[in-house]
Amino acid sequence: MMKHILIFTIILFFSSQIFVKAQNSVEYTPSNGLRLSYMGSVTYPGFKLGFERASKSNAAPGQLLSEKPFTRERYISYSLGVYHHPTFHDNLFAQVEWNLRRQRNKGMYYEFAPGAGFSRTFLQGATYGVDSSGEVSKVPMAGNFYALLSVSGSMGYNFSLKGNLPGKVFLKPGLIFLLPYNKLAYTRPTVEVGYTLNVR
Amino acid sequence: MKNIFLKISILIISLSACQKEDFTRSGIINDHFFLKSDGQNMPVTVAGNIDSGKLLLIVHGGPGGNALAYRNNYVKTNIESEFAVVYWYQRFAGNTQGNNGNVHISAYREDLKKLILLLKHAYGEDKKIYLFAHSWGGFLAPYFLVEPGNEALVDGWIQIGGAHDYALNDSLTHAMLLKHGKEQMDQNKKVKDWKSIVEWCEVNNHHGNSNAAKLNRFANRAETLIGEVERPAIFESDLSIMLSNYISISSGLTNSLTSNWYNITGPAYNVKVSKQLHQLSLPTLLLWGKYDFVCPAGLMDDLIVHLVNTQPEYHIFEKSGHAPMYNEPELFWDTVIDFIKKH
Repeated sequence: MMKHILIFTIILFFSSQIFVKAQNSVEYTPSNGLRLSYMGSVTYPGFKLGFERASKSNAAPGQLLSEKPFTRERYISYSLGVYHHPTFHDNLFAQVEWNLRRQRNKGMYYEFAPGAGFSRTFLQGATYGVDSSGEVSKVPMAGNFYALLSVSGSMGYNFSLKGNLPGKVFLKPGLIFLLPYNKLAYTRPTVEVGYTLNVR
Repeated sequence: MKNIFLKISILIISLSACQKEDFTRSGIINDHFFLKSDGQNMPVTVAGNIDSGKLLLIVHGGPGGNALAYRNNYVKTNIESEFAVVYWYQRFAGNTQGNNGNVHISAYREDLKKLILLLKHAYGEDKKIYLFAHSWGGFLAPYFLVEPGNEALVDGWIQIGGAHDYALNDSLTHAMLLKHGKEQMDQNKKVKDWKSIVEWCEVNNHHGNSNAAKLNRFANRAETLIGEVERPAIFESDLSIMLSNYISISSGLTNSLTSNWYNITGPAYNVKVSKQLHQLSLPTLLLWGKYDFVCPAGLMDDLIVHLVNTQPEYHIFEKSGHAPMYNEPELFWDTVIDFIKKH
């Protein structure tokens, strides 16, 4: 996992260096995007696929980037994700997030995103029940449905501001909460590293 | 969106269906499965020599404790080569998961019965099962055994620093803290640490939840103040054991919180297992650390008095506290191995 984060950071750094000298006076309009990310639950692998829809921005259409140090943008993103935790569970979830983004005119962006959804876990192991007469039976597709809440803070780089690549890379640490989990809530730290492809 | 979700579900289910046989019935095994009971999905790992025909079923401490914390390198190397060891997470413990479930102690007892029936179904009726009960597990095991019909399901009971009588446990902890605290202070050992414990015990009794919780905290601290208690030469932290066994730390924390929040041990104060112990006649081994302040050795004396129809074997570990399996592993496990081989 650390290796992935390191590679991402290096790519991000050099990307910034390459584009930093590009001219800064292009027109900018927030766009929708398709997102694909590796989503590790710290040490356990997973991925997430989604669509983000630009819903609001304080940047006027066609505004020159050089006119503002940053713009405030709002997106709604819809995602499907899955992670695999050996001997525990696989978790398949659907999630909607409200992305509160601050896009700087040099390309970097910062984001806070609360979210909600639902999840279905699949136990990582055969599951058996024993009835009152002592009969043992296998439980098919054992697992649970949970409500899902999430919160994340992320940083990324928007290549399209310089007109070179139609997308963004991002690093997104966060927490997801499954509830009710054994009468309380289960908290799972996650780290996403991904790419958003701009689409109109 | 719904279709994609459905397709991914089908893919996961298909992959799950391709797994190997659930139970290995010969050789050195390492099986993992779940027991589903009353809304709780409890993980079970069975690891070790199944050809021995003997299973050592760990009834862990807590409630909300960690079954796989017992699976350190010493156990993997020396115990699993002798017997199969069953690491069962109780309800609301470790990786046990679910939306809901009964928190009453009777549900734990029912789970234990179901697990034994499942183990016999999985590995054969002829397999011998020995309960290895530690701390809170030392309440659960006798509570299970005195229920009519349950004793016949197992072949031996090993009780280690167990809390079979919670009220007696608290009174013994209170007395032991005072006695040892004063002795240590007289010998000018860790005076500052002991002073706060002794002063509290002198003005408070052992009754009530908050006093019991305070005594438990003092008891755990007291053990660390005794120089005679052996510390493991190479410390394997719970964290490293949890990570190597894929234990979700977050699930363990949630379950631990649930166990405390719902005061699971509360009803245990009203259960007097001792009065029913005369019914038991199965081979029994009682193991205690001399410096166990959490569940003092007076509890072992109480068991010996009440187990009138069996001759329990017992051993006090002179350099141990509440967990002699960590303090004096060689001596501890040799005693366990001898007992199981004999019975």
